[in-house]
Amino acid sequence: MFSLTHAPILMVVILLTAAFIVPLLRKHLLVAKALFLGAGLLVTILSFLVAWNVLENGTMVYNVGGWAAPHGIALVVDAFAAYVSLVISVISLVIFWFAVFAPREVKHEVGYYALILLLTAAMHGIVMAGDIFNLFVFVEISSLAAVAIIAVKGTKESIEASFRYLILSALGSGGLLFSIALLFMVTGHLNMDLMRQTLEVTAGQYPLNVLTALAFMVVGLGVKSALFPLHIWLPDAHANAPTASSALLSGLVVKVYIVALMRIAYMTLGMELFYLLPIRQILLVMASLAIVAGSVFAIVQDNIKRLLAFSTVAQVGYIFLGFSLLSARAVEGAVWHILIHAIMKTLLFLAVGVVIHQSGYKKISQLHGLGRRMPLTFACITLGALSMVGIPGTAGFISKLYLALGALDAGQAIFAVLILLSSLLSAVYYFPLIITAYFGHDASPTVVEPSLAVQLPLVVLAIAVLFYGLMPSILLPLVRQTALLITR
Amino acid sequence: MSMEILERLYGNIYYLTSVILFVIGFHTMLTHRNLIKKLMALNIMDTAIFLFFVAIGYRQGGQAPILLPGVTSFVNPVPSALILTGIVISVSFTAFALALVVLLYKHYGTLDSDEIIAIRGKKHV
Amino acid sequence: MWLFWQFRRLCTKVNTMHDMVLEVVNRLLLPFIQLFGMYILFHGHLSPGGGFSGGAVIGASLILYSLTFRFARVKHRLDHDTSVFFEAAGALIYVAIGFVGLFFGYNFLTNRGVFPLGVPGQLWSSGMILIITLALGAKVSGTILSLFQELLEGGSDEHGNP
Repeated sequence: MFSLTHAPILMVVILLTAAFIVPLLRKHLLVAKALFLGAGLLVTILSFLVAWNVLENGTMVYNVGGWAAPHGIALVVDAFAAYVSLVISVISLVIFWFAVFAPREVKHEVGYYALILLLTAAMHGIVMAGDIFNLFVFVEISSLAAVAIIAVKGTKESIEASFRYLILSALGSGGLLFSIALLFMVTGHLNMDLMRQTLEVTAGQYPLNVLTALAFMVVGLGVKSALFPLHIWLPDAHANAPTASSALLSGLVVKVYIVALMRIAYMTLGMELFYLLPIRQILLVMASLAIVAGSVFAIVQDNIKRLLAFSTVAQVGYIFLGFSLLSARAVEGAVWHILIHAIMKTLLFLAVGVVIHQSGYKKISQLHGLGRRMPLTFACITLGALSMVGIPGTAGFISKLYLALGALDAGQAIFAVLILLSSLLSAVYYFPLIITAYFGHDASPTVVEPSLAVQLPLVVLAIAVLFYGLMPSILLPLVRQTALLITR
Repeated sequence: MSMEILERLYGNIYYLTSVILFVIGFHTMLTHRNLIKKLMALNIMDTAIFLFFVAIGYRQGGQAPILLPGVTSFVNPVPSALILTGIVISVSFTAFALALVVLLYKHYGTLDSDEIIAIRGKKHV
Repeated sequence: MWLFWQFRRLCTKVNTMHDMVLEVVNRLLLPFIQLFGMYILFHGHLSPGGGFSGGAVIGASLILYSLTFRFARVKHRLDHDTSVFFEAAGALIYVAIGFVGLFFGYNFLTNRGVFPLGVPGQLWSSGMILIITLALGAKVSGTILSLFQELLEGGSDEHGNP
């Protein structure tokens, strides 16, 4: 009855259903928490099964309501979608755990869980959507939920940051909808596969429409994924959110919009068209600027969460760089970086959140000697920071290596130099954090480690950083297939 | 020559109007400091896009696509259906943004975005 | 702060206001508004309209009701938990309908082959669409009312999820 073919829609539906039930359980907090974690666990299992099935049997197409392509809405789970939804479900499960067991930061816990579930459901929907309007709807749900999980903290700063994020995000949505309208005008379809087939014929007749659509699309999704000049909302939003929200936003949400852009690029436009248009060069320039500027801004920050947020701007630049270099290894590097940055940034945000909650210090200059008070937490932070810099043996090294080799493959050695340079820059802003924490006089003898349940996600993520650094081969088939999809 | 241009403009009057509305909304949203005005501009912008989308499916003399005897020319129903979804999304964005504006007013005592930034900046220094 | 207090004052004014004309006119008008909303809901599969439009009309009528009659008095009849419950119930019915298709061995949300389709143009036709429209109507009216209540309560609980 429940064969594996239904798994993609079930992943979205289970999370959405849980999101609607959880707010009703205000009086039964334990049941709500169990449901929250249970939904996350179930979806993780399903996403493993889907990934395995995609590897074995190729792309899965699911027609909702039994209606086939021109009329119905399809979910298309190819290697890329399976890979990204695997990343989303695993990382979000870790964050779910943290949100349940970590000290309370928001007023209405059940509402917060519901928003997180909604956000996760929408992210799964974005990466699996085979219909461009469906993708838009999921993008909207995720934007709204992403704004809401910042505002739930209820402080002045978080509300102001989330309002700014909301306005810019709505601007981006407008751009995305406009570009969908322009593409619909040219093709008459909303199914991404049929759009590509039609565009092969009609793109030459209506070049202005396609070009305008692509411009709106890149700006729309660029705002949401904080591509460099459009990143201004990100530092405030990510720095003022509750800990679990920061991790979710920085680790996953930002990247999902890049995935949406890439899926539109290779499923709707086709890579030939993408090559012809000047978008690639623009993206290359913007990505390089993002890497440099994000790092430079991060160096001058004293607030730890703002530092991490600016580092996200730089890392988004890496992913865009890999995708726009378009050589096989560069794309593989970008695909790796989606997973590896998700692990590292989630680890860092969760660990820093724990440190801030236990000590009350928000600035690097206040951390003197805390490393000796909270050894396990700071060991995790150190590992995450080393991986961010790209020290061999950690996961961050793998993706940077692939990106640099890919830049050489594409014949553009300057970008390999850029990656090396930015590794140096990230050493400049991550090492002070570690050095201040371990050295200097011990100023805070009262600070203690949090409970083990809170530390478990940190340890799991730290082990994952080491594991992918030493044995990157475990997800290699999926990454290879994804790169093939994009570069074919 | 100029007649030809005018005719072309008239033929694309819906698209033209929607682009003008879009630019008005965009400009107001980025330049006005009042948060409520920003939201109104956001709605104007969304409406412009909805008009654009619905105009794609419009057909001169077309009727609602319901099977009735004597009706032969239909309007394309897909854009209208999509825009209904778009309107729902726009409504939820606006409602949420208004809730945020109420909270912002409670915390900062003003609706001027520049003043809010100034108050926040003072606290940082 | 000024606007907020004005808003609160307006709310308390709503609570204390006795306007005969408003109450009588609304007593007359409300049943028709709600009937019209129901009409749109039940004919969603036959004519333009459907879950969102009908739900919006009913939700607007409920807002009118709680604005006209003193908010405090109707609060026990239309409290926040009720609207949130309707919101969730509508969505859950939708999902349950979707799963019916799954249980019969078809895809999610399948209509043809699972539900009796009836004769096109009649009220009891089109299988699950009518049920889904009603569920959506419950969800939309619940959402609109609960958004209104959130704003009335001073935005203390600010998740306005769609």
